[in-house]
Amino acid sequence: MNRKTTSKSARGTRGTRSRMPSTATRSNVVIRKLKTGVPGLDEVLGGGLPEYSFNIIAGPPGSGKTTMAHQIMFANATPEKPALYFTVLGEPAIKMLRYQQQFSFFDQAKLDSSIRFVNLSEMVLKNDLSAVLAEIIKVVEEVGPGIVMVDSFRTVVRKAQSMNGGSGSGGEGGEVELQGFVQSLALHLTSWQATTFLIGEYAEGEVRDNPVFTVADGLFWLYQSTERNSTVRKMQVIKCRGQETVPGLHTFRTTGDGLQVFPRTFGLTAPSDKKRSTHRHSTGVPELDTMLGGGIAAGQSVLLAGPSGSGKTILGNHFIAEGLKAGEPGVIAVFEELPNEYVARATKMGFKLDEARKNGTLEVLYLRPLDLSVDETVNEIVTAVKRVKAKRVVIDSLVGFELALAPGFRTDFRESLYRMVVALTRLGVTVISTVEVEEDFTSLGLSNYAISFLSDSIIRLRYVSLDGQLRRMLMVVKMRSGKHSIDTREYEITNKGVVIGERLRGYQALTSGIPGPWDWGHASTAGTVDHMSKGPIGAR
Amino acid sequence: MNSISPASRDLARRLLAWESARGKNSATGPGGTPVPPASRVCNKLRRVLTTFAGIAGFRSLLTRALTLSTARAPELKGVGVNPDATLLGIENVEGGKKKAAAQEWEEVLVAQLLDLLVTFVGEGLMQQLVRQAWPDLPAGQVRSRNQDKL
Repeated sequence: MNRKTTSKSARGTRGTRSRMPSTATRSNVVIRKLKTGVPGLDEVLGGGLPEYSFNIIAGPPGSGKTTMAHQIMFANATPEKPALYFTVLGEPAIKMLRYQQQFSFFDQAKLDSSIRFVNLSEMVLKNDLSAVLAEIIKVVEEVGPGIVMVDSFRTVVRKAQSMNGGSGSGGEGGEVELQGFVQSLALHLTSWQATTFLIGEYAEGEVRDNPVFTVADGLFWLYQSTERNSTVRKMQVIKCRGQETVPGLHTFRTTGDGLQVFPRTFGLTAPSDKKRSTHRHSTGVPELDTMLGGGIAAGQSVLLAGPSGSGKTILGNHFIAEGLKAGEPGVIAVFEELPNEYVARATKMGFKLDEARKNGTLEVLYLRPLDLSVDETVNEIVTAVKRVKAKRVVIDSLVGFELALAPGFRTDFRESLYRMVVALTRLGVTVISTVEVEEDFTSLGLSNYAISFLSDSIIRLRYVSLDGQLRRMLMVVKMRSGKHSIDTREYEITNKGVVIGERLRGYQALTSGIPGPWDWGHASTAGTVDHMSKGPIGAR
Repeated sequence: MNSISPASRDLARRLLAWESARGKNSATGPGGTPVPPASRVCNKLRRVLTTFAGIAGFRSLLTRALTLSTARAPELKGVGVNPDATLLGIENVEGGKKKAAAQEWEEVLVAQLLDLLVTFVGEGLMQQLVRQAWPDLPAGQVRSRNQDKL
């Protein structure tokens, strides 16, 4: 379904289920869905490509159209239902094969029996469209393909335009002939039970009133844009007749394995693994566990907010190391330093992360700085979580994460974080995110992103000026899952990690960072302090 | 001078021998002159390659192979490539019509063409194309000897 018709379904379940009426109650035709072979694309398409559909892959040069087409072709071509790839004055076939075989999906064995390339360049140059159509039909009837690709179809369009007026602009005659050609092609290829793809270079503004797009059942648009120094690639399923797709733009990346699409809904639509659990994970710092009413509730998200050097990373290490001791695998996503450096620093403090990495119970992900998309980041982390069956995740840090994103994604950072946290907590993992806070001495900032609403709990670390020393204190400022301490506790960073000391007594305005001695002259206030010190766990 | 890989030389020799054995007393060119095995090899490759690369694609490859070969085999100086990507004037090359067995210049030309294919599409695809062009050729004849050693 196109975007107009998906608004209703957007409120319901997406993914592989169709929103069409159940075939159990109505004897509608069942449209089989072909796997695309492009990771993530089946999810966007609502399960795969409709069999026997007539599709267009459009986009600017270099956006990945041919690679996507090849992935689909190699994923579906079999000796019984081979693929036919017609090349038309686009990239020369020899060069195309030269480059495409660099991708891991390129299976040479399939070229023998399952894939056939046919060059139509001379045919297009020397004949009119009816002759081209006749040639395509002849080969299709001879081969009986399951998949047919025409690359570049734009050349055929230009041919139609040049035949009527010769100016290149075409005119009505050219348009009618082109529409007739496309309709005949669609009709014939569908009758021959082929799923067809026309690949062409189109600009965004060409969608309207284009006869080619009118005939097509599916329209996949690839975009490539440069923002500052970053390149961002996105794709959209503008149209896909007969099935529900995920609307909107989805980022994708091209690697040695071909295209990988990162659906906007990744991790948000699959059934939640999150079970209501009363289990609390120890943070690895006993006093902090006490402040948290016994630890962090399983499946929750915690924000560790504090200035540079306040020990956020070390607390994250405590959390992961404690989990490893308890047999709970973990994932750490780092953005600001390489995993080996990160682990070496943790090892110096006695956290045995290196061993865990070697035995596969810990994965330290270094998410490539620059040009990241949020969806890609979520995908990487979620995949790692599933790979190591992680129970604990540390994202260190959100500031690094933001910097790693392509500039265009930073404007949606709050939404992005929301999606990431939801995707992870739906898996039932417990997440600690660190965030650097610019310290000021007038307020208690929790983060610079106004993202504290995303977290179930917030632990604030900060510097405080006491008795001529710059000391550290922490407090639990929010916890959704029950009672927590309202104490402000001093802590130190030692060579064994974070050691939490006593509650800071006798000061007022501690949260400002520049406290003064409490005015003991007010009996009522002093009484409150005494009461709170005896009851370490307070209700939020 | 451009070097030709021993593997391509080896395969060229086998293809030419195959064509020599099957072309005796049968293939003739204009005026009844015998068609050299190299011409038959190039034509078989042409049939397979033009399907996916087009006549223009194969023609440019063959022209390049001919140019590179001429430096090594001056006998080829008078040979050209027709617009339909067939060889022009190959029957007139000295020695071409005297012996049934393939000549050195034929081996150079075919090996050069195979080498170009390897350069552009790789050994694996080149062998597949050869298998398509000579479906009756035993598989062991298509594999390069280097591969057999692996």
